Amino acid sequence: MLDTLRFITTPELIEVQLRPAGLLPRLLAWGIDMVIRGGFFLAAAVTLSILGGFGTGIMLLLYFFLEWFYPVLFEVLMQGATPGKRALGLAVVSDDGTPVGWGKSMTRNLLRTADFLPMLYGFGIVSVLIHKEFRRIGDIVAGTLVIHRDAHSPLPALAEATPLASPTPLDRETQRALVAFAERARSLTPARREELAGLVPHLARAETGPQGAARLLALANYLIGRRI
Amino acid sequence: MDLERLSVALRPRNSWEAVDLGLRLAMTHLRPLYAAWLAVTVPTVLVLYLICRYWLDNLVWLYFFVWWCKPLFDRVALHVISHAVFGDTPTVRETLRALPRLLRTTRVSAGLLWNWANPLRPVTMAVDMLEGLRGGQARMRKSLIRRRVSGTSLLQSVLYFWILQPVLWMALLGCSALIVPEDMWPDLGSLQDYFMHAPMWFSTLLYGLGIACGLLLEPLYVASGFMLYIKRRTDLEAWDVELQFRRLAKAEQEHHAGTLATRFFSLLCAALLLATLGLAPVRKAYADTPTDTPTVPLASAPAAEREHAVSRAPDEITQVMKDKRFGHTETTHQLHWKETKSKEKDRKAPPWLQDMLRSLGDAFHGLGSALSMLGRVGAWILILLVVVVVLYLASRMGWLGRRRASSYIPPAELAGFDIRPQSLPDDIAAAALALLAQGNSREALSLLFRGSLSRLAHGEQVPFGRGDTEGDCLARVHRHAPARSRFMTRLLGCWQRLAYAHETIRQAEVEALCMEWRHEFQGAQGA
Repeated sequence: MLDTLRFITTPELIEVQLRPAGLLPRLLAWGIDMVIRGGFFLAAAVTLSILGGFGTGIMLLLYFFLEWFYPVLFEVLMQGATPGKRALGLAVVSDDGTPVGWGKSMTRNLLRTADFLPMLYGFGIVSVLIHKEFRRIGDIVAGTLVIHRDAHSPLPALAEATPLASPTPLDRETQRALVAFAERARSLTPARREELAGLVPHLARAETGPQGAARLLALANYLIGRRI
Repeated sequence: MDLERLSVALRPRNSWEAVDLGLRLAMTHLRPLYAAWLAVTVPTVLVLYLICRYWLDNLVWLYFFVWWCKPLFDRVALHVISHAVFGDTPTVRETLRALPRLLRTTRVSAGLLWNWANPLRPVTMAVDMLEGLRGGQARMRKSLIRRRVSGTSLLQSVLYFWILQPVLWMALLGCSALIVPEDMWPDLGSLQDYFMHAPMWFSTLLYGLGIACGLLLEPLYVASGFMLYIKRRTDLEAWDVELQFRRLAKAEQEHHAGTLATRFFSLLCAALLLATLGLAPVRKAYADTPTDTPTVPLASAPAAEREHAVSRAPDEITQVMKDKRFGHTETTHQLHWKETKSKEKDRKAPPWLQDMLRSLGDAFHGLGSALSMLGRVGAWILILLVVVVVLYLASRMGWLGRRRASSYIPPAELAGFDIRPQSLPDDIAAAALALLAQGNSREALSLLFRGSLSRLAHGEQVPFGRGDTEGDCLARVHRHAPARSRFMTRLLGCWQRLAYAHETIRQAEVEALCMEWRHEFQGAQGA
């Protein structure tokens, strides 16, 4: 099954999913950062120009720091996200899911030089395209990962129904499927809901009580802990 | 559609994740995808090239033609990708065979004309190609499909066509500029001339690279667009839930069949038991055969009824929208200040203000030069400081040349022996001979060895390390005092034979060693 996930198991044997981010969102985030950085530099340059040669000196220093430390500072101090990444819900983390520190952030940003080769991020683009977790050379060396941090959708609200306990115990797969169905039920048409319920007659049909999709919703409501 | 054959994992994703997955899909099916793609595009481009070169005599047209043909090419890429998603990747031959059908049935003309500039093309193209809807229904379907993903789709089009492609083009041009000799590079005035009036070889290079970039990126663009379509349908129709439910139903069926079999089997056993024992009249065992296995047909509204509802919907919607609750115009009255016209006269600053501004500017300039002076001094001081710190660190770390001989301090103990000179008697050879005379050849040899190490370390500055073993010591002697190595080898050999192998060393041999020791080291001590 093709997917874009990275699984990490913590020492407590809890599996955590990271969702690496690919070329296009990263490119867009980089573009936004570029605009912010350029705008800031331009504004600073205009202001500093009244100071003559001293202003030029400060400007060059500013350029140097913006070039090399803008991503590093944001990544380390602002939960792994430059403004551009934040705008797209991305973040930089270590490949074990922990936040990046100075060393890793410096490494991945200094190696931008390598990614920039031979021209205009050529190696970086190719590396992101062919790597399974969309890493550029800097990421591979530093052991970091750019991930989608924001949840894929706002927290789903389960459709309300009178909770109903299942007469037979349900295994974990079934419970998960029922809750997933109830979470999505609001965005489905009634016909589609019934069609889906028709796939699992052993859950949706019974001698008494509600039938079909309504029964699945009632079961799911019981499963997440709602009681009459 | 058989969702169980899908080769991508279904789960709720945000749009960008879907785009990422599209790229992953394209990269995993890189070879079949690009083989089919190039098999169609390359011949087309070649034909167009010949036309533009020999008939139109300007390659700008080629670029436009290829650009214009893209919706046509896209259908080939989508054909491969949409099959690959369901696990049967078509070969190049199959794709070529499907080509006439693709041209006929997928609304190519619309794609090439008014739908050409549509940035949501890859998403809606899937509706045209895979769902086979026509007219109003297709329009409604498309608007439904692109509703939540249009932003991402638009942005990805911008990224592909206005960022990635030009960047790649420029990068390739830059690389070729490094290769082509400088005096061959055409010297044209304006940028426009480079694109319009350059020599033919240069135009070929320029536009060839541009077209190559476009053709390389297009399948990726189609794949990510297609995955947006899949995401949208997954959201709309809860495909992931359907898959989960199908799996549950299958497990349940197997389970059901299993329990039926066991029940039947146990009843049979019981019946046999009763029959053989003959304790009770044999009863017929009825297994409840699965006559009532529920087979619920997929509930889907009949097509005609649905058609009817769809056709009636627009009227109903306009009826509902007429209700006052859905918006009406309201007239309200408010008081405003009249806008006063600013007079030209006020615009000009009074002379005193101008003077002030000028003097302020001068002051800033003066401040700037003063600060820059300060900064310059500060920078030199900083540089000096850095140099001093580096030099200091270098001297601390011993980076400046080899360690000087005088700075070497021999360890107090070596290989288990105390080698400080003050711990040894003045005439070591005599002391050893005295010990030997008492019949204590072990002590004598140990003293000799200890003495030699001490002399070598303190007198000849052989750099013994703190943790050296006897073997290490010998190796160091080989390296740093080769003149003594023969004697030391013999001495150590004797010592090891005595100490570790517990052999008896003849007294004469030890005596000879003492004599030789005197010969070797007494002179050194005297010097």
